[in-house]
Amino acid sequence: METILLLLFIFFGGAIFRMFFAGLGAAGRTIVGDGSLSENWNRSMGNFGPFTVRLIDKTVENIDLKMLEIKGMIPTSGGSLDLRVMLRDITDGQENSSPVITLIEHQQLPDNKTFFMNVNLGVIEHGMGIHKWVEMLRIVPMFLIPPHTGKRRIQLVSAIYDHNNEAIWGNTDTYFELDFSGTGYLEQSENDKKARSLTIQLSVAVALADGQLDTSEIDIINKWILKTINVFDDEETKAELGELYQKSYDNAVNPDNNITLSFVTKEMNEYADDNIKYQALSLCYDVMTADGEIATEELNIIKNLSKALNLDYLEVERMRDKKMVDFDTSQISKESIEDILGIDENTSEDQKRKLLREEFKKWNDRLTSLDEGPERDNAQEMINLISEAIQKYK
Amino acid sequence: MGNVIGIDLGTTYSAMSTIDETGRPKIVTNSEGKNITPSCILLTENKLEVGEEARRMLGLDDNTCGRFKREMGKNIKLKLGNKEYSPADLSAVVLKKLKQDAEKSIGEISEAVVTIPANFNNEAREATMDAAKIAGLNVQYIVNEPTAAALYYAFEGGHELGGIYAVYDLGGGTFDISIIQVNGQDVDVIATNGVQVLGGDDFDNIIIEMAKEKYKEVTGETLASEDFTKSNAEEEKKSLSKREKVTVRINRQIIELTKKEFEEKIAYLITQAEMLCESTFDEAKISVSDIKGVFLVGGSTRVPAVLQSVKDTFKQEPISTVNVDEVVSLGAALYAAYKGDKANLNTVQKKAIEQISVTESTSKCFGTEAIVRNEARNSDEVMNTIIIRKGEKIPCEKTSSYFTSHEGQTRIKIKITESVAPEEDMNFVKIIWEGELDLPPDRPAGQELLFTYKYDDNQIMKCKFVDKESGKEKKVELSMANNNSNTASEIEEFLVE
Repeated sequence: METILLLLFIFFGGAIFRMFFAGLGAAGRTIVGDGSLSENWNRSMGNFGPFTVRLIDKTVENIDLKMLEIKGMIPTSGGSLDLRVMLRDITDGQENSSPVITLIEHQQLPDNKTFFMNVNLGVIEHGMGIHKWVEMLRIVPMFLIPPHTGKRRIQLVSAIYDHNNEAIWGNTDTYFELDFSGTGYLEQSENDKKARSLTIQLSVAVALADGQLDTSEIDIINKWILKTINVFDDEETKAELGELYQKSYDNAVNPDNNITLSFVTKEMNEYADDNIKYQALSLCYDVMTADGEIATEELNIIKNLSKALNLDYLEVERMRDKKMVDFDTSQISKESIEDILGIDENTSEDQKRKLLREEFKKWNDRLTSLDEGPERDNAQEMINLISEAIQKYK
Repeated sequence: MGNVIGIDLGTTYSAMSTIDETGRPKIVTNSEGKNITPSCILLTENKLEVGEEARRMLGLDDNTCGRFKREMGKNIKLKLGNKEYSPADLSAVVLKKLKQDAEKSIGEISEAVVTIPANFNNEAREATMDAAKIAGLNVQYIVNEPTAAALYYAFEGGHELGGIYAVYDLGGGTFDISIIQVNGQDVDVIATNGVQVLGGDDFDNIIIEMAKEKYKEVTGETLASEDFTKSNAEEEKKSLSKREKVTVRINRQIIELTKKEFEEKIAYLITQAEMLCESTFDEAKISVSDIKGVFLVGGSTRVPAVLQSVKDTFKQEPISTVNVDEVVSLGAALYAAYKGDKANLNTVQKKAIEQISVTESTSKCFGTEAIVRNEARNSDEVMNTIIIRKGEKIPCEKTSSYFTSHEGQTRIKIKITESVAPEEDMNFVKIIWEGELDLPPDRPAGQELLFTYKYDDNQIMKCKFVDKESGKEKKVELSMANNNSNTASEIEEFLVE
């Protein structure tokens, strides 16, 4: 979900930035700081100087912060005011600037993760101002994500929004450096596109493991591609991704390309986060069970995949079990049950017996919770298959 | 002063016991003078008849019904004649028959305890209580079958038993294994597990399958179910426990069933019991050498292959001092006296049971659905979280804290879940209650909510959900809901006197 949100942002980021100045009704938040705003208000005309914003570096409980402070004459003709703040990455120039996102929920726009803060200043009359610097909000650099990795130049855009006149006053820019060692969100977006293309190649490899690409398997892969593309609203993006994924599919099914699993998994490890890797494995399981049969070759590929992608064993097991309970297990032969359960053929007989016993216990426990129906029948079938398989190790 | 009875409401047979004037448990025979009563019902001229005649007719037409204990707690109706009954209704008919017979034999019944398999889920437990209520029994307590059996063995052993024992209970429909610490008449259940679909009924089905195969081989025709019924299969199974082979005459054809073939066919079922025993040793954190004795319970332990499996699994000869069909009801009678109103007991009876102490443990986990961080996937996911773990000593009460997930949240959806293992996946838990708790508006995320689950002596759940700051709360008691049942009077109307 997180990745989808990130992707959504990328394609609508410009619109969001415009919305910032268009009077978005974000929730007001409480003013914080050493000296309160009310203590520093005054109305002596002309003695405040211009409205000014500054950032002060501070460390609180070992966390580096940037405190935004304001002082001076509040630029208004009178009315209910908000202070609004947004961050832009201008490392590559203003014309190529991009928003900065944050992981702190209450510092995000309502619909995505773009950094946006709205501080309600109350009703301010014309001529009011602030004598001393007053802290208005805190930015936590460690939770900021710019579009790209490395040393980034960030522009802090602040403005006073007048609710009565629906106008922006005192647009002020402040700048700071952000040294970001993680993956920028635009890079991540590109990585995700690559990872999803690789996912298609993995699923085709599983489908081809038994020597043929079945219609039901193609159908599963196509549905996955459509589902992945359809999270986007704009047709341009859909078309772009559709083309990209179709190309990936065509490459995978073309025998001349000789795409090896080791290459694909290596690429996956480079570009995919864990969430996408699990999604890829889930698709592979769906493809494996699509034709109502489970081939040993398909099982071996999935087993090798989960190892090569460094996936958590318990999580893979959880995913497998979810698939098995939906699969018509009466189609499984007792010879293949050990492969399905991921029991390595080189495991000792004692260990195989122990693993089968654990699987039996697990499915038997689950049977108590499942209602009458196919899922329960499949779980019962798993129990019977395991019971038969274990007899050779008695 | 009325009598207390213990009822073993079995899948294939039921039995009842009481305690005599000296406080010793004894079987109460049915009106036909038998110690056990088939849990089968026959509809004859608008009357429901329970017992041997019904068992013999089982499978012959739509007017007979049996093995409905396996369906307890399920939202289904079973047809008998042209009427439909819930499994609880049909169990109520059997219980009513037992109650009537017991009253004829020993007089008024003041209190009863009904036994259930250890792995019965909450719905099946409730359905059992429901059935007892419909039958007009005053059932204040239910007890797990292996616990009742262990209590009987401990009582009969006087003060001689001490250490860890196993109760191996293979009945008509279910298998239970319990590991129990016994010190004199003090019985403490350490671990319990069960297989819901494993028992004599499955062995009977295998005999039927064997007969069908053989019949086809001999005649080339398909054997009709009315030509070789469950009742016939049960008889042949009993014969195969004593002989190497049996010859069966069906439609003037002779077929031969061998013990060897039967044992090969049931091997995978016996293996299930073996695996569960070994898993239960692990759960109880014991090795097989720690077990001082194995108590046998249930008619299916008479099958030689089962007996051999017990010897192999436990590496010792099992203990079987009484009729394995009766031991659960005998223990249930003791439990009824131990837990029930002592005003129903005379001085000698009170003295006889005063040393008894039974500590049960939960055979299920109870939890709720919540959003939990999945570290492996680096994402937040809806998962099952456990509040009461399996193996907690009963009665028990546990409280866990949860927090609202978003600002301005005015409601939480609550699901009470039940599972044998501490499952995280919501696909593999049973949701036994769903509801909502309204919360005050305009609060930030992270408001603490306290979920308290209380599991009582009767294995009934009571839950409380409290918003800590406002004190708003919701209470739920999961007990004796009368679902899908006919009324007691309807059952009464049909029962044969």
